[in-house]
Amino acid sequence: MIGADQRRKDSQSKMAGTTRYTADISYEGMLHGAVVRAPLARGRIRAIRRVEDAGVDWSRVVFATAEDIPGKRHVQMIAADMPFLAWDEVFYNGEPVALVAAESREEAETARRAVVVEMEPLPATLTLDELVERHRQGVEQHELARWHLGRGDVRAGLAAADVVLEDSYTTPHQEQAYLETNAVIAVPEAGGRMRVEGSMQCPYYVAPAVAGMLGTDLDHLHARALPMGGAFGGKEDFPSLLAGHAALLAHVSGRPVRIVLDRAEDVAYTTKRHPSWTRIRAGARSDGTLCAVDIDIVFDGGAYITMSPVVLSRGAIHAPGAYSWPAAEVNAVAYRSNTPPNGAFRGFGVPQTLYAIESHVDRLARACGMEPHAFREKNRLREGDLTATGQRIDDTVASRQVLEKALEISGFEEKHRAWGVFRPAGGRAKKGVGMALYWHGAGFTGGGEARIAARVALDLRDDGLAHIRVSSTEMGQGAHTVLPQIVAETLGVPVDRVVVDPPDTAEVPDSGPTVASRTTMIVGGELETCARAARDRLLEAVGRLTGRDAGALALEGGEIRDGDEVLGGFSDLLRRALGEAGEPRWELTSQHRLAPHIRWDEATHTGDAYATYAWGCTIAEVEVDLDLYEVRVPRIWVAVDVGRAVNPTLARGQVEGGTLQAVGYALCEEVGVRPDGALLRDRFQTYILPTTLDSPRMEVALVEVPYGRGPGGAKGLGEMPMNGAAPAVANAVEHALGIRVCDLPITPEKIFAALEERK
Amino acid sequence: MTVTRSWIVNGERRTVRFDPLARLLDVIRGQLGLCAAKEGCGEGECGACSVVLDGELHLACLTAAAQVDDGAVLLTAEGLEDLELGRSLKAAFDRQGAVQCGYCTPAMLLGGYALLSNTPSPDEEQIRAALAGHLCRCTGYATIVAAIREATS
Repeated sequence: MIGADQRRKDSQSKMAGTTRYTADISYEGMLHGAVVRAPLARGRIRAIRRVEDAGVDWSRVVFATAEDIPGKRHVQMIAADMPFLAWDEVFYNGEPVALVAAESREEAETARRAVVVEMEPLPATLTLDELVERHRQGVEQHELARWHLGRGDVRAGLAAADVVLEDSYTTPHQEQAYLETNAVIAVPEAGGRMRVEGSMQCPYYVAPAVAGMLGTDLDHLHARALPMGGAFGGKEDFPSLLAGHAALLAHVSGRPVRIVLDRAEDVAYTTKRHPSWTRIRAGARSDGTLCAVDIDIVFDGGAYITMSPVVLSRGAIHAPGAYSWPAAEVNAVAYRSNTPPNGAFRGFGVPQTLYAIESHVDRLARACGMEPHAFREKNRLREGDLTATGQRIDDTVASRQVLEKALEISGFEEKHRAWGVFRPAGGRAKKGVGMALYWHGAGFTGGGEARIAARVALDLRDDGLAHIRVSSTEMGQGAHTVLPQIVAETLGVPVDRVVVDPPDTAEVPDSGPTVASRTTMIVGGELETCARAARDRLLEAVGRLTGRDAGALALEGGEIRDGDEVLGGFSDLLRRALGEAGEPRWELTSQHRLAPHIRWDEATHTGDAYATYAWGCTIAEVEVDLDLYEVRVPRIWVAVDVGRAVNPTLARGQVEGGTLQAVGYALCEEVGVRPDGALLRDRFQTYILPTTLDSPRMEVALVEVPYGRGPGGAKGLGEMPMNGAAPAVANAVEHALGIRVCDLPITPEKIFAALEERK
Repeated sequence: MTVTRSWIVNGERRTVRFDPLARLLDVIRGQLGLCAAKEGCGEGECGACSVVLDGELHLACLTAAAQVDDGAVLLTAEGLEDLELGRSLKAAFDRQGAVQCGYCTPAMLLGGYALLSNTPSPDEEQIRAALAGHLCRCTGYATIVAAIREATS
């Protein structure tokens, strides 16, 4: 089962259209909610007025402002700085200031438009450029997070280098663009309880945030994750805010309230990938040996702290890339701007800094007169090397395997010598090929997993099934197929004997948020432990039931045997054993602990940043049209180390999907900000996503270097594919044209400008 | 004022009454109670609302329900299980791993169905061109294209 292409447990209902997502669910008496938003990027609220004579019967509309909040007015996240509803100062255009609910979505929309928010404007900061300009001039500005890390003498290292290269790289907002917009329903229940359910990655983030807002506790407020139409980090922190809105309306009205964002609202007002600026100064000897690197990073955090400290931390730790630097220093800061808060998006800070370092390393290779793959081979992190945080890389490093595999399947060396700027291809297109080598820490950074201390439960029940009870959610990545595979393998039963209970905080323990490529590795690992205990428990009981020595019994392929003799099927014997014991279920639990050797100092960012890393190498082929300057990516090759692919088909699906998101990041995805602070491209007509015609042919190779503490050897995978394609495409464009665009996305306009500048 | 129409929906005659300005998508999801068609963008960009109307793929979010005449034959993903081509498409999607979050899936299946109904053995370029109006953010499309190829063989 581990290593098998088990079909998804949810595929049939998704294909039949019977899976019920949040927008597909209604309740008796349910109202439709909508959010009234601030019209300016920054200012003070003077009045929130319901306009009479606007065709709205206000007696039929539920209306709420911050004054109606019975408990805490701020959303509990890393810090509690973001209000559910602003009542005084507003920090971004579109910030929620009031709520309405009505019998239909149309009525709610009409009412929303009939609320006027009067504001006194204040000066606003709207762009990354403004933040970077002040940063470079040393002008003080509002910091949301700051980290420093490093090792060795960078100044001496750079002084000793034969080649020193300095440049800066910028990246834009990126929208997660899950196909299902954010949506939530708040449902009042008997006994003064309330349930919030909807599209959310982390029910245990939502429940305490909403309970705090209502001034109640987790016995009276529970959160349930429904099937999700994609998330990619975009439903990590934002659902706490939206669930608070639905819950407040339900609290005021006493009725169920559903809020489904439309696409324009979802793009404009929910979290996005942090825009970034990364300046790198790096030195190498003329033989290609790396000497030192000095990295300065600025992230645009948006209006509130949300996840910025941890996004910035992960970006900073990965910023030196998958290389062994004798000396490295990273300074990273996230500043406040008056745009919607930026948050989690697959890769979590790493795609930004990895794009920068992999672009820079490519240029450093050229400056040393080396081919890109040879330079990377010479300098890649190897077993026993130290990272910039001082972590000694262990035997699970797979930088060599992924590099070799990617070179092999792509034919990179031959293409790199045959194509490129000095050997123009025929016709009006030039071809280029580029690569990126990368890593990604699996699970939470540093002591994060120790703080979370994931708890999982596995029940053996009198329905003859094993029930997984975790808060880990299914957003399309396949967790609710892969986790049963792990349990089935260990227990010795077919996968159809294992089910996943709905992730509801009233029913399941807190196995942590479904983020950070941690679910298979960490939650799956704890479930493996539970499954072992469950098997022993059942065999003991069956031993008693049948008068046999439990030590001689085995559970394999869903049958319990004593030697060659089959005693019965798993489900039958489980029911009988539970019946004999007079119990409806046995619950087996497990709690995660960090490996004892892990040492991490958060303040100085030194030590073992991650228990293990996954490794990847992406190679992209581009064709640049010399009339239109449009970049096509006909083919991409990706080799990734996943430790062990629990389900190779699903693993490949993660790699392909993440890779295409990164191609979009490289070439076409850009939001932009208007002068009034509203986001510019807030819909799918203007925010351009890759289609079937833009997506490359992909070849994925799964490299398996097992990780001892992961289930079956598995490491984290989900985020890593997002790291590689953008720098690989950027490097391929330089290979094709001989120009370097240091500012994503690489649009025809920027290529045109760079070519003009070169003339 | 309401409009009344009688359509053949997934092989069954259904009568619906709706506001003259109603979108086909809202009539299908609301009155017909068929939720496979999704609203992904509401402006014809993502294709998640696609349905097959008299053999052709249509965007239900941009189609006025009143434009759909009496007697029209409507196929949503709920009806695919009753059709041989629908079953083979679903089997191929499942085998290839073409389903992830599932939000684009019903419409993707119908896109494949409409293509294969008119072009039984399309090549990869034809498949990609036929699906260019369907956004998928999860898969990178490779498995979807492969599944439609598989369903043709």
